[in-house]
Amino acid sequence: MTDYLPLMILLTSLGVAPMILLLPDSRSRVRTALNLAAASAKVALVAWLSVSVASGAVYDLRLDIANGLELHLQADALSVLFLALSAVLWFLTTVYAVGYLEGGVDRSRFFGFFSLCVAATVGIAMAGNLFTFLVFFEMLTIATYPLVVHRGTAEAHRAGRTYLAYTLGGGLALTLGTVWLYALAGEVTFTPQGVLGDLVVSAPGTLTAIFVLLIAGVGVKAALVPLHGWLPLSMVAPAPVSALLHAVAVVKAGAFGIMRIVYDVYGVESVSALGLAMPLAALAAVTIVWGSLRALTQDDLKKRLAYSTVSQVSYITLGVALVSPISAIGGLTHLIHQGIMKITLFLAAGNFAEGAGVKTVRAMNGMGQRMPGAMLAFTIGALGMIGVPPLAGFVSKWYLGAGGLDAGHMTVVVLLAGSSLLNAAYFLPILYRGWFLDPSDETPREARVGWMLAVPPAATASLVVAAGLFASAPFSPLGWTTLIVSLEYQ
Amino acid sequence: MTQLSLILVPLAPLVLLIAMLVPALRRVVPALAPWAALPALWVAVSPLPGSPLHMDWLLLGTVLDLTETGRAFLFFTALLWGLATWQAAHLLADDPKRDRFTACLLAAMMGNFGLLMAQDIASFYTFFSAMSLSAWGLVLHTGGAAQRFAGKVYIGFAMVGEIALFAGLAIGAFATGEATLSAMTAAEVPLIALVLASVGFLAKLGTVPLHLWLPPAHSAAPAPASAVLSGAMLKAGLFGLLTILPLGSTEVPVLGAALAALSVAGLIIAPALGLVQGDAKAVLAYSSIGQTSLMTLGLAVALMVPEAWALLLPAVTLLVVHHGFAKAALFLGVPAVWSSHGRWARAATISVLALPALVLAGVPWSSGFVAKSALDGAFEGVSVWGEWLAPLLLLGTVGTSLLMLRALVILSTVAPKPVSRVTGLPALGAVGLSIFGLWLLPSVEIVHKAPTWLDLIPFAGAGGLALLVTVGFRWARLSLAPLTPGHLLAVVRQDANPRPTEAKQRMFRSNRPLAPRRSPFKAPKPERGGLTILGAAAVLTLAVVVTAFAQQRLATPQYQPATETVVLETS
Repeated sequence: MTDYLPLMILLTSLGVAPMILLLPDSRSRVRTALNLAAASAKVALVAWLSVSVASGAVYDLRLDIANGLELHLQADALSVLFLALSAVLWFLTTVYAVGYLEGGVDRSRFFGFFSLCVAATVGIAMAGNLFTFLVFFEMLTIATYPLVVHRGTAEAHRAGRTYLAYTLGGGLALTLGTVWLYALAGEVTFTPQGVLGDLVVSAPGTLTAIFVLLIAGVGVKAALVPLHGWLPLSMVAPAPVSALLHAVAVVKAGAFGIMRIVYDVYGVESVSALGLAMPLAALAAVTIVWGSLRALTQDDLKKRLAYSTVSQVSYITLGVALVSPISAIGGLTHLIHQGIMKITLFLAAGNFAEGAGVKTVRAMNGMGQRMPGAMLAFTIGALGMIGVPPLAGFVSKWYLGAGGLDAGHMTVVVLLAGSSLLNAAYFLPILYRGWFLDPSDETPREARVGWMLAVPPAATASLVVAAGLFASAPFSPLGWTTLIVSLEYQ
Repeated sequence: MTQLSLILVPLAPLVLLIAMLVPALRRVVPALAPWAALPALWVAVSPLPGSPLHMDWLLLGTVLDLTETGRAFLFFTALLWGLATWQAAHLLADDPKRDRFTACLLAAMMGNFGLLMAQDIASFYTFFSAMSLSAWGLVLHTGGAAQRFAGKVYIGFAMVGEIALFAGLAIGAFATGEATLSAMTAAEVPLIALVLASVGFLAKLGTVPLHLWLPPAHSAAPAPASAVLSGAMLKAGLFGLLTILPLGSTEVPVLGAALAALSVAGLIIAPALGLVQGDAKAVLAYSSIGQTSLMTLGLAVALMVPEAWALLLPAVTLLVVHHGFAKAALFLGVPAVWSSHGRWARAATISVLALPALVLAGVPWSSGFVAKSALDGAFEGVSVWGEWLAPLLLLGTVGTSLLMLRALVILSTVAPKPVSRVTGLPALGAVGLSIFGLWLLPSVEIVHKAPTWLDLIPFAGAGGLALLVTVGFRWARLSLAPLTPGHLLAVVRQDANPRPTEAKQRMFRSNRPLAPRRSPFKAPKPERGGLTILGAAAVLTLAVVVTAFAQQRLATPQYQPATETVVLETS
């Protein structure tokens, strides 16, 4: 029974998706009940799974579908990291989405694909080999498309087409890379320190080419420059979708893919032996700076947040690419920390749009008076992004900086300092307008949203505070990543 | 005293801050805020805890402890915060944004108390940035054009300082492998880490050239906020320097020479620019720059001659405490002047405020004299710059005296405002502390020379000079057009966005091709703060690169006296 725990976690969302899709749009109570029951069940199951993985349990489920090609679900410490993030944030976003779309149209379609999207994410987290990873990765691409175009406007369709063009292109690269690697190395099961063995010596050129293909494939979703163009456009999607896309599903799936490829397919030693670590780190560095620079000039609140994501997700890539255990802790921790900070920002931004009709930075004046709760959550998220202690972002930046020094690159500290200044330059003006400028006289003083919209950002903001304040506690993101890294760098 | 009481010190303001989340409690919090300083005061006057308080679960492992120096700092910091929050509760009683101000005040208070006790890097940095960021709210509070300008400059410097500090501490912590702040003094910490961390602290302390934020901010903030900003929060920067620099143990002539040069610049700039200000609070702010320059001069000497530190540490501490009390008394006195209507009431208020002014200038038989003569005594027999130190002290004394005269003259003419008379009480308390506070200080032994009538000469000189200038101005029928604080930054102005099209105007003016056109005044846009920060980022990056390069190029690993030192000694 407990052996099938990964499968049950997958089914909590994969199973309810068709049910919700088939429900008539008017049955909102049944739909909400189904959604919330599935989301709560998943949180409970993931909690159970993490406790048992921490105590040394091994989960391994295989299904042979063709000669030598198998679907493989496993749950290691790295899976649990991503699973916990998606389970908790899925729950909160579901609550938020129910409130956000109240009275809207096509809700069954929305929540059906929403569940599918999370199922794909969970599948990515628990994929035990490269083939399974690829299957769920492509499923994520398809499941997200209806969410991006949900509003049905011309702009949404345009964004949706761009999204598909980018991600399907990336999917193609990933597929090619996967097939090539299977042809070369046989079954690629994710194993700490890699599976390549002697191939690094015998076929370095081919492996480099495959690495480029694989990273380009997952790099589209991780929004590495120059493959990031789809992300700011996809901001036409409803707020809960943007929140989930940025914090958990798509972008993080890409970053998680980079981790799997570097740690569990190639292994850090092979990656640095092939000379691939430095170019990847350089690409991450360019992305960090470029994303921040573009964010500076955006007036649309969600676009500014989107470019900020481009920049912040590359911290994860940087941490992985620096090939130092300390930077790896920083990068992995940032997977969680960026997730909870960014979802806080997006949910709060959604509340500004929903409660007060505020969608641009320019219109943010006086939001501290009009919606103090949402503004407070936004402030916590923004300060965390800048890296102000004791919030979550500080912990990741501290470890990334130390990791850079450990890898012998003083430039990483300069990069982090510059990036923090840029973060301050595009987040502090928003806080300034919100708290210290008065709204114009015409605007109503009070703007309210229902509790389903108000509670989730407050909850994630508390997570941001807690993740930083109690970073040294055993079950904190930092504590967990330290465990993972001790496995990879033995 | 148990170690557990240490946690109460930052916790008291934090609890009040959290209480503000409950709307029903917001009304009572301002009146309770002064009491939040009580645990800090109690801890400062109790015996030292002996062993540190470890909280491994908090942040990256928090350690709180109180050192002898920290105790002296906590003593005056607690008193100043108590007085300032007391005045704020009355001064801003009817302010519609009072809650916001109180929240910022409490957060800054928590940070200021906490950083004096934090022993590990993470918690120190946490408290330090809590203080820096919430002080932004204090500067911006009144919401006028001057505040917006001051706020923009303040946050630019604060962020650059924070991030330089982060980089410095990260590099230092990596070099030593220790998470404690005091490990920064270890020999294996690279010079660049010390430089970066010092930049962070000097930006807070307002040392030239990182002082540009200081006069606009002090003049823009409400009086009680200026009092703690100048009296307590600047000193947090000095406390940081005291903690991370290897004072009294290692010679670091490069840093020492640089710091000395900056201090001399501060001693000259403070009176030069302060005297032409038109706002009393701006004059007081410039005098802060001069006074903190004296303190950094002390640190500079200790970096050259470590054995002088034994005498310098108490002298610098006395200077810090005396300046804190006196400057806070003057800032807190500004609302007291507003509340005094009528000639006699005004005269009485000004003469009471003249007491801390005299103390600050360091007239004989005052606590200011005690502090300055202690510094003088510590400088005696120092082998570097020996003949230059006494004139510098004299320059500081004359400069401060002139600035104090100027501040009092401006204060005596300010228009009265409808302010409750109660606001004068905290000022009165601070005046008392500025006279007697030094002798209440726990744990610092006071050694100073007895004053003689000869010590009055600089003050007579300053008075004479002031009189001469006044008479000269009257005679030549001149008057002063005061500069605005932060004038140097006002030189640069931004174009409106988008650029105004001026095609029509040009046609209208075609008959006067040479007439100078003025662009209309633009309301500052906060996005432009981004440019300030960007520029600062570029400077910071350049500094890091240059320092790293220079560090590689330095021929020997030992710190050799750099050329600056030689120049200073021979010139």
